[in-house]
Amino acid sequence: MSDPLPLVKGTLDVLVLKAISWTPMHGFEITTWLESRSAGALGVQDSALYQALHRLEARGLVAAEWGVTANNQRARYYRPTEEGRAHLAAETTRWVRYAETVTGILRAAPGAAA
Amino acid sequence: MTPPAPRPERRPEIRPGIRRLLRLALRAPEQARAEADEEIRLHLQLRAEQLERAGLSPAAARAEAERRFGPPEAARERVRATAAGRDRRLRRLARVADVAQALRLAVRALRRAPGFAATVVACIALGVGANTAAFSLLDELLRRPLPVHAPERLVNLSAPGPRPGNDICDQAGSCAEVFSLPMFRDLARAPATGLAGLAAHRLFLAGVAHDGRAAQGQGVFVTGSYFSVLGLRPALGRLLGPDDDRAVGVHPVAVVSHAYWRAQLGGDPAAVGRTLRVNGRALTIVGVAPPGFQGTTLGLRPWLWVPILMAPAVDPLFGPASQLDDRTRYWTYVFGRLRPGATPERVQTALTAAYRPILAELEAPLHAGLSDAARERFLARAVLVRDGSRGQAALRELARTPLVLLFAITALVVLIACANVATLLVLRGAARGTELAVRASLGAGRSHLVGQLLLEAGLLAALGGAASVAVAAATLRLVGGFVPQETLGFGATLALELRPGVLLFAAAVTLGTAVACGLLPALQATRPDLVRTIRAGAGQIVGVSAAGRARGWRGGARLRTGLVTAQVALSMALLGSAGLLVRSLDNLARVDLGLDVGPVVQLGLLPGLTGHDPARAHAMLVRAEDALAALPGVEGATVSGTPLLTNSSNGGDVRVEGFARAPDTDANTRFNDVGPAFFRTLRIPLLAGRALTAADRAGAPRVAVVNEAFVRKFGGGWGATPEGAARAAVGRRLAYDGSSPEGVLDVEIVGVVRDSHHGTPRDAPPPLVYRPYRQDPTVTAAALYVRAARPLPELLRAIPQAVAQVDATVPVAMLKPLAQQLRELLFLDRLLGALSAGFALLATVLAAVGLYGVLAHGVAQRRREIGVRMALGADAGRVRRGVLAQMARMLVVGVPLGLGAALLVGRAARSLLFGIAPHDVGALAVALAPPAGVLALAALAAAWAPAWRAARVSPASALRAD
Repeated sequence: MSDPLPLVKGTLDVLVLKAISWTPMHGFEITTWLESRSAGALGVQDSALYQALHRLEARGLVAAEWGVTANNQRARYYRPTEEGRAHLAAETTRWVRYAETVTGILRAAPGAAA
Repeated sequence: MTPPAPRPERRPEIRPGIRRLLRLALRAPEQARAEADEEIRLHLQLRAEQLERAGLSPAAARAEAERRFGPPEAARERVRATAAGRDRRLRRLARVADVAQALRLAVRALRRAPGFAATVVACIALGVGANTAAFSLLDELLRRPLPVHAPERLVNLSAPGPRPGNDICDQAGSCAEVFSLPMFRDLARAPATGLAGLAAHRLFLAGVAHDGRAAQGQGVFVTGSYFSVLGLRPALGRLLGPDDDRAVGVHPVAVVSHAYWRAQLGGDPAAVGRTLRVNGRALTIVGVAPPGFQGTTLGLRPWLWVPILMAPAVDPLFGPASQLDDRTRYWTYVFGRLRPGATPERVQTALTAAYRPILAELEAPLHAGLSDAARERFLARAVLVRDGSRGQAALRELARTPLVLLFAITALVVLIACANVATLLVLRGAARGTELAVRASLGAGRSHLVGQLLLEAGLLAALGGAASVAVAAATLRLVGGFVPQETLGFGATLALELRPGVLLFAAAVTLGTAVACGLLPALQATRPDLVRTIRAGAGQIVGVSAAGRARGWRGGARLRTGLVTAQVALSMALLGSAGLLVRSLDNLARVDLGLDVGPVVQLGLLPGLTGHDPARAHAMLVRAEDALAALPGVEGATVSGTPLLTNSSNGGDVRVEGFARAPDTDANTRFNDVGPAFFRTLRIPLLAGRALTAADRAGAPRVAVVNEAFVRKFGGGWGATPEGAARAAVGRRLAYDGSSPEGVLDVEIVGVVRDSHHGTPRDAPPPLVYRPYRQDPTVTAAALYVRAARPLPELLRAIPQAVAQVDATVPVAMLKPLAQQLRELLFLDRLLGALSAGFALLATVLAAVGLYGVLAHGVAQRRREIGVRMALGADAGRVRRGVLAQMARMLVVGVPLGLGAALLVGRAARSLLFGIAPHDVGALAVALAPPAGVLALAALAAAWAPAWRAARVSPASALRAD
């Protein structure tokens, strides 16, 4: 595996929202989901993830409640709120447009027409 | 890596909404950190398990898990911190949502009962508004300190005690508070008194002409230390200082007030240096006083301040310049500023120590004719030093008792309004019993319900409080309409506006009202045995077995009855007080004034103020008197040197033939310089001798006419009966201490007239000597009275025209019917009578509303019982009487209490009551009977509808109701 890419500021929030957009997950589940999806290319410190989760909760984008895992352990499950889903959709659109635009410029051949 | 396993069976339910927020609001802050720790623990455990499955040893797995988590303590701490921050934020949001929700519920609840809400808001608005207006008056007149630097360090000086000489008082205080100018200078120079400065001042009438326009206002003569003692800075130019206090007549300068500068000089920044003509004398403006400063006398707004040594030149009524050095003329008011650390008591001792030697050495020798006893009293006088933070004013003492009484009255009104509001809230709480019980059963805690009810009460109170501002403003405007804008001489004007401090007071009273009125009903309405209430509401008859409901209702009934009885008592107290004040006013109005006010118009002419010299001014008065008498339809016109029916008077000592006079004898009498037609115009009956005629003019022998009181005082041995004494008085001689030559009685008494009230009807007429003004060339300003058969408006138009034809430069002042002057003289009594009656009626209406509410509610509650009774044979009349009996029970307790309180008020305010002595049972009964009747009528009216409705209950429908 190559060195993990540092996370662009602010994207962790969106990634977390995406992770929990299908079903509520607790912190570890979110971590493993992100790791599996990115095949380890993203370097996220676990503690940073929890900080992000708490901040999202404070902003009202996710809601959390204590639940029980399959192994009968007490875990805190997070799910997006209505505002969270809306935020995810908007940010996704923005991010994709941004990425496409930047990629297009960076990949352009020298002297190519505008 | 494979995605995590499909979801476990137990999906955690996350319930959104209020419950969650509510629970969150109750969490302790440490809980957030503990939960964060738990999250971290689980995460590390799961990570370690994952790593173990990947092949690491348990210890290595643990270490790796911790490494991936982040730097050990710091990372955990950050997570805990964000958790705590999140909790804080969510808690705040929950609180806001709670409050918003509660407010929404409160508004909805109030919308469901608009009549009730409107009544409560009106009650609070009227009660708090009236009280706020009274407080505003109290604050303005009694409490407000001067707008100067450190007003609490100012002190007023006075020197009570007998002193021979002439004093001119009644301006800014009593006769104890005036000093002679030389004495002021001595006191100011006295060393080590603890005073940082001493200042003297005196008001004067200023006819100010500027740019051709003339107007009359007030001015103040001040010493050089005045502005420095007050610690003021000029808004423009400079203020007067010691350099303007050096020699007589050489400082033709003035400082104008900020208001005058804005209004009359247009706020001109180049005003300094312009010239004003004040009473005909040219003065240069050297500065403008700071905004908001209006002198040190309450109610008066001087236009300008002039150096005191200019007084003889600028004030035509002042007299000769020698008065400035005359130690026996007392005419200035004195105040000073304490040094830091000095106390009034120390200053008083030091000043008295300086004062007495001066009395002994310089002043006592000037009073040759004093008896030893009088001399001792004179030398024993001391200087008193009192708080001067509010300036000096005679108006304040006059107004103190009435204002405090007014405040007490409005406080009572607030109490009644509170009781009324509480009653209404209790009734409403009882009506909502079912709703509250259901909510309680659904899990709302008692404190939550009480909070909700308090919020509703608070909302009503807030609305009422906002409305009360409008009520207060309207009340103040009404009061302002009563206060006369000017009287002849010095007018008093009050700025009646709502200041921020007063509004704060209103808010505080409103809040107190809300809590007081809302708490008890709220507690009562949310009693724990409400479930029984719901059950009991379903068809049980009172008195059979629903003991809880019966008990609850009776307990509530006692509270309600008690509240209404309290309202009845308070209303009776108010009505009684109002009755006393109204009767006192009536008594005052009935006093036989001894003169016929009727179709008489008054006016004032002050030709001396427009720059005429005394001879021309006197001649102008004579010509004006003749011109007015010659107007068509006029039956008589006359001059009166002292204006009638005002509080001013002029007096001095006299020597009378046959009257033994020792140095200490009271030989004082009042004077009035009048025209020949005086007694005829004012219809004052002549008892003996003749009235004054046109023949009594300058050059003719000096004559005078006296009144009965004069004969009684000075003519002890003149006759056995009043008539005999009056006849014997004609031909006797007297002399004035001020102007008659030594040893000669040069004035002959030519007539005796009946006593008449020239001042307030409260006091008995004093002895009075009427002198023909045409014999006294020093009379240069006077009031004139015109009696005419013409309609008054015509006369009011014709008089200024006639005066203008005599001399167009002299403005006509105080032009009004004499009857109006009388009304203005009694304005304080009229104001009190009107306000107290108005508030008392308001309170009665409130009490009647409360009474109606309680009786109606009682009838509604007992419909079933009444139905049973009627089915068993009771007739409509008995049922009606039952309701009326309930009302009567409340009256029987409330009315005597209220009457007793009214009597106490009458005793406390007996200085205000005229013609009603505290132990005069007959007068009290006459005064209090109508108010009691009014209350009884109101109670009857309130009880009528419920009684009638109770009698109309049909047994069948009542029993069928549930």
